[in-house]
Amino acid sequence: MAETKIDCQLLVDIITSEDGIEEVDQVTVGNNTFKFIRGKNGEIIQICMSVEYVTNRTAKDLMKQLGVDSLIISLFPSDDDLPPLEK
Amino acid sequence: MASAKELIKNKKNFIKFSPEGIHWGYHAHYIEEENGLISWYIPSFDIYYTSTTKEEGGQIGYDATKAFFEFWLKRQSFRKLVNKILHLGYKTENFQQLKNLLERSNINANLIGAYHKLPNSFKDSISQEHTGELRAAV
Repeated sequence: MAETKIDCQLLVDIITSEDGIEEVDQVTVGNNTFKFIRGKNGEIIQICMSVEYVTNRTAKDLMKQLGVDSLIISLFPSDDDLPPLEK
Repeated sequence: MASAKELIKNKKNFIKFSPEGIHWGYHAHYIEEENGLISWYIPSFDIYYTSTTKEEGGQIGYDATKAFFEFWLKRQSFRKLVNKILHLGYKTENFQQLKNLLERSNINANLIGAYHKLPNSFKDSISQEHTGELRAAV
């Protein structure tokens, strides 16, 4: 898996602009802040906002949790572990 | 009922409720990426995150699990917290403990985490043990 750095705030902005994704709350513990986001599947997951970058592994796993898998293909079109784009 | 120390010794993922608060133990899995960042996953809480160092990752994991309890217990409700941890695969030692927990009477319960199969993205990860504590009226 080719690793790149992804801006954490940008990732959250992209995810939360999707229809059906809702930002529920924000909790700070120590120096770390976590956003709680409800995904398209209704599950609430948390994302750490205190890091500048996330790995593409983290980004893809978060998007899978939230049910926005289609975004993964748009953001990581060249990854080996993804199905080929339909022509 | 097993003590928190025994549960940690037996390498269990657990959540222990008592009148004093909540004590928990978990495993955090990490992969060091080629670009220097570290990808993390805590299966028993289904939490993914990234850190720049292992030390930072350990701290974020602890804060993330504490934020989990802060959110579900204080921002949502006790029942929703119990429901959420049942969905994550935790089980009480017997049905009476679960009943007491839901009725918030005689709150002394150990919930043991289910075996979690790691996702493909973390099949080659390294595991670390951690514990946490939240002192709060439950």
